[in-house]
Amino acid sequence: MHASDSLKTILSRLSTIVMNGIADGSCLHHLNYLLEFLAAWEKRPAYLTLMAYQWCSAISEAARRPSPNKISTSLPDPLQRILQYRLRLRPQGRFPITTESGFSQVRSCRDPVRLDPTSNLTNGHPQHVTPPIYPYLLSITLEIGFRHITSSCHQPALHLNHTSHHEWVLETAFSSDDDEVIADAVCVWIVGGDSSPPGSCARHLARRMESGTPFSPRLQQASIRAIQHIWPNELKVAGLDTVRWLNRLNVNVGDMVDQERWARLLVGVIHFPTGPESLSSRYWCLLDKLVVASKLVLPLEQRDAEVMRSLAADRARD
Amino acid sequence: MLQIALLLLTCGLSRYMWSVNTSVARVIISFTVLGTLFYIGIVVAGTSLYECPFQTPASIGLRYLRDSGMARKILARLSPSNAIQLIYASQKITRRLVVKMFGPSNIISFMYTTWMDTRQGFVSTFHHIYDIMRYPFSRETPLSCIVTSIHRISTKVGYQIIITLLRIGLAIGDATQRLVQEIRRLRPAVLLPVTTEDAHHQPRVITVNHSTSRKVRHQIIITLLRIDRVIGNVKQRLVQEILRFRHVALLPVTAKDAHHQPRVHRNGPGLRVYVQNLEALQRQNDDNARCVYWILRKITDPEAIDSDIRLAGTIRWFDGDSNHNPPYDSIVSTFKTCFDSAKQLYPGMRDRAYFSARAILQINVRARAQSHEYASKYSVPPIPWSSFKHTDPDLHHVLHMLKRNSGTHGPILRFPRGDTNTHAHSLWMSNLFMDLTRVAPNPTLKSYKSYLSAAVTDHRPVIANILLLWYMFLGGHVEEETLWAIDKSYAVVLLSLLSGWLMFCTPAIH
Repeated sequence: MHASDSLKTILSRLSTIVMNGIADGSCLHHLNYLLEFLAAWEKRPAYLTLMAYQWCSAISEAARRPSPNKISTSLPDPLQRILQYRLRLRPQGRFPITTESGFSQVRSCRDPVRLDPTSNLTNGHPQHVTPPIYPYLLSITLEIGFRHITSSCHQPALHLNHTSHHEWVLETAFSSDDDEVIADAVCVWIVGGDSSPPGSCARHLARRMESGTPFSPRLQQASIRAIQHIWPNELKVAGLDTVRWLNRLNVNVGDMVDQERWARLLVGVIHFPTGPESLSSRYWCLLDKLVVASKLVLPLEQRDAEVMRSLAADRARD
Repeated sequence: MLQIALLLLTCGLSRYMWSVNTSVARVIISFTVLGTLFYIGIVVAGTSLYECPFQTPASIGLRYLRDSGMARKILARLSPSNAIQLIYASQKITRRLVVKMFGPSNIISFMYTTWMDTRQGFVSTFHHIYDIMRYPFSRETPLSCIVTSIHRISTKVGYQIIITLLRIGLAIGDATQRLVQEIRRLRPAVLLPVTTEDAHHQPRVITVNHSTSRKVRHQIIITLLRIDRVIGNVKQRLVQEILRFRHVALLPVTAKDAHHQPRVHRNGPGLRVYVQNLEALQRQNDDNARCVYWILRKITDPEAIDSDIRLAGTIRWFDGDSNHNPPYDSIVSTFKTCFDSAKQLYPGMRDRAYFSARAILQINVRARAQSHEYASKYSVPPIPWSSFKHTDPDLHHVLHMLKRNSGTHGPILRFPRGDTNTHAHSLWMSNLFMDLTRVAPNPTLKSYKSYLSAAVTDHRPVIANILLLWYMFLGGHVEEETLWAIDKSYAVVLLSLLSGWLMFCTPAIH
């Protein structure tokens, strides 16, 4: 058997056991180590994206589960390990800048639920862990599934099974102060664009932009690619938010992979009821450039075309 | 001189092997006799025919003797009656010996007796030369001594050749005679002229031509059957000899299951990675176990021992049909000899220390999988910290693993570093971790930095093994077959390097 086939078999079985582990709440501190290993694997296979998204779903389910008794497990100081793991993300080091004492003792993972004397108090529910662990697990899982998706590489579309967990994933990811995690969440739209619930992307990104912090380069690129994939549905559901988001993105001609698609996108904004007023002047000029460069025949009204040309002329004079 | 040296070498080798192992010695003697006979045949052919393409110094010398008339003078001294008596006596002795000891069909035994007689002749000749060299002045003149000795040597050699040729002819004649007797004995029973009855119930004799052709046909059939039976017997005896040979002398052989039952695999919902050549891998593992077991007990060549220890670290001990205990004490003592009294590595002993440490770890882990008794029997020797000085990353890491897993320490998995340790070492170690985790499901993981660096290096087999480790940590069950499916590239590389030597050393492996 070929090595890659073996690896796929192992990963698929491992994915099942990870899902079960997340669902019953046991061995989460073991999963940390596994997920960190997978995240450190730079050339991980593409099929890991689907698995990672399923894990996101399981994490969401586990995190939203009602807890009759808040009982925390004896996790090995997760905050310290999170900080330690974060250091690995710094670009200056090829290898993780962590100490050798990264591992706590790994014991049989099924034991905590069965052997914990307090587990009877949980009335059959699995024991619950300290809250920060789930966002942390989600951030690593998103990294495993979507970190390798960049603006330059061509990513084949996947059918991601979006359920109610998607909103929790977005909420959690966008509440992070790490742009890389947000960019991973945005990449979910890039990979499974059509199947994603409309409106949520624009809403969250617009909120993120209102914070005033500039986007990281990767988040900027991911947002531009996401617009191309989900634009029509987003505009219908969250029109004004979408235009605001677009205005803040400052897209250049160089960022546009498919210029014709972008031209039609901008025309769609102009046709939107409040679009002509909301769209910033730089996009009018950009549309003019695209029309001139690609000699497209766009369904623009006479008035809109005149506005476009005049704004472009004003900008050229300035 | 070269040919004589070769002959003496084979004689010495035969003599030595006879004292070590008679079965092996028989094979060597057979080949030596065959070679000698072939050489004699070439000499005879080269002597008799100038056009013969195989000319040797001996044949040139003999031809010179023949052409110069010296041989005639020598032979002239022999009276015909003496020569005939000698020939008859040798015939009788040979026939008696051959028939009594081995039977006419055993050609190897026949050649062996011939060889022993020839050897005796040579020995007496050499004794004679020795006497001449020792007492050079006991004769009248040195020249006459040399001439006399050459005369005697040539006479003896001539006698030996004649005796050998006579024996060959005798054996062929004997075999032919027996064949004819057998045919004659069977003919009355099988080939009697058959009569048939006509429609009027009047018997009539078949024509002579018809009966002759039937006889010939029957003869052909009988001869073919006989040949087939002889070949079958020879083949059977050969197989028996080889089996006996392997059982007794060379390598222990795995007995075949009488019911041809396949290996029992554990059934269950465990993770199974299909292996196409599982049986071949298991057979190879058994062969390797036998090979290591045999070499470390029989061979003293340091290079062979090094290769053997290297192989010992890749074997799944106590697995499969082979029930041979590993030569653990030898490996441990080899490992200890790599360090001086201060427990520091001797220069140039790195490879031996590394591979013997690997073998110790491998055997220890496999023993843990069997029972506590085995685990205590094959316990890891104590490793002092001073052993770590002047070691490269791979050796340092394997020593660390030995130290961490010696004594009462629980299983500890200390990951090799992806940037400093070699891929081969990382792969071997990840294979070991698999077995260790299977033995003890609660190991302690060490070296987080190295653990992550394995993922960064993108060495797929190592990554697959680490993922399997996690699968087991998280409660998954891994089928035995999957453990065989782990990438064996390191073993394949080693085996390709070793194959030449092993083929020479252990011909019965395959």
